[in-house]
Amino acid sequence: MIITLDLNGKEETLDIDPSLRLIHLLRNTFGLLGTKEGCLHGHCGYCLVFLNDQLVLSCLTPAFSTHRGKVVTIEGFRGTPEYYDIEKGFLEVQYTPCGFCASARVLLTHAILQETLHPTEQMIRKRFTAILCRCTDPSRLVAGVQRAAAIRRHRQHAV
Amino acid sequence: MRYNLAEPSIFMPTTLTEALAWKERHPHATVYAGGTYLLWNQSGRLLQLPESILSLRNIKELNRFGRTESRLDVGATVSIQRILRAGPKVLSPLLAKALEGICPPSVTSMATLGGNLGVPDRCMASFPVMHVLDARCELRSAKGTRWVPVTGLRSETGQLQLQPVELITRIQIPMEEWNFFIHRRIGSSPYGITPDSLVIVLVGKTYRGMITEFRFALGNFSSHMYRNRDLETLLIGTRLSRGKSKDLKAFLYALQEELQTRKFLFSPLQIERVLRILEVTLSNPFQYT
Repeated sequence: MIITLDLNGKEETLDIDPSLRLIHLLRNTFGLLGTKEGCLHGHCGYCLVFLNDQLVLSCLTPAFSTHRGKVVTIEGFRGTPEYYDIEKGFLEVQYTPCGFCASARVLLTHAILQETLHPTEQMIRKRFTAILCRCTDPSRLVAGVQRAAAIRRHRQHAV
Repeated sequence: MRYNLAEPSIFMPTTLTEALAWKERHPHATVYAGGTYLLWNQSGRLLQLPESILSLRNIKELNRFGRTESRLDVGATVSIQRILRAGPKVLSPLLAKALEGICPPSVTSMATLGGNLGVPDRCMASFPVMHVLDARCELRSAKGTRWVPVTGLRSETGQLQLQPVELITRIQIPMEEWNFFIHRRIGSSPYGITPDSLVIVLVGKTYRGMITEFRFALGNFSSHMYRNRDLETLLIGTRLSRGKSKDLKAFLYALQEELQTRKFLFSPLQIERVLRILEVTLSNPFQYT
């Protein structure tokens, strides 16, 4: 099956096996290893990517469904100013997620900040239940997301 | 070595007219929207897909969402997260709580209300809620459109009353003000479908401490769900009081008798849990709303 997709801002056309999962397309075909493979059941949340500006689990997304879609992985997101807001926010409060869940946490933080630039602690804690990894202190995570929100607010006002 | 010799035929239309025309020619094609039910229990590297798939993901007409004064109009492929994002000004607290209970937070951006209602072999978590709220679905085929209340979406034998050529395209949910509501999803796994999973939905209106309207439904992810309007009327006209009143006792006793005749549907443990939850919550429903 031939599909065309916009992957990290670059148009790609390729012939795929319809029964392929998006995560395997990203990791094995394109070598985008920032998206991590976890449970393949949609429980762990490590494999989050943006599909048409919606955060989806790439393990539960068949590759064919990205046809005519726009996929952004952590590699594509890394060069954007929004990524630097989050990176800076996390660093300022010394929040360092582990290498396995970091990409999913950054993308989820971006999804939250797209909804609101004033996320509450309750909202952050609730949304991050989507990621099972318990690598760091949740209070630091809350502080990191709120700091990233403050940096983004500041940057947007400056613009 | 690969044994997956036959590739599934997948159609990804961009308009509803194309989708309906294709469904007319391939009535047994599996409809794909969020994909969560199709893929949730597949653990292999390659997905086991049905022979033919109709993907509704790129159809913008099905992705509309709006609210009028009296109802909420949800396109069949609108994700649960998008509905939840509308916030408390658009959603009633009951609906927000019920939608949060449909699926784990990690898949709310993928799961759809249309998909949840349209699962052929079981009543999923949204079914009892939509049943109680008197929601209705727009069903469309190439030949025409019809509206069906969610109560009529399944037959008495639990079969989905959807013609093979029809698609659920829209869900209309009345936005009534309820004085108290209770939504509980219980089971050994909070979002999983296990033999002890159960959804309890209960809504009511009161006037000067008297129940003027009362509805409740139970779902356990089998092909049936339980709602009994005769039992609902037992509580109408009674006064809410702290503790177990005489009317509440009579209601619980009648419910226990009724559920015990449906042992094929509910296990003794589930019946016990339902009765206990109803006893505690109905003794002071406002505390649990």
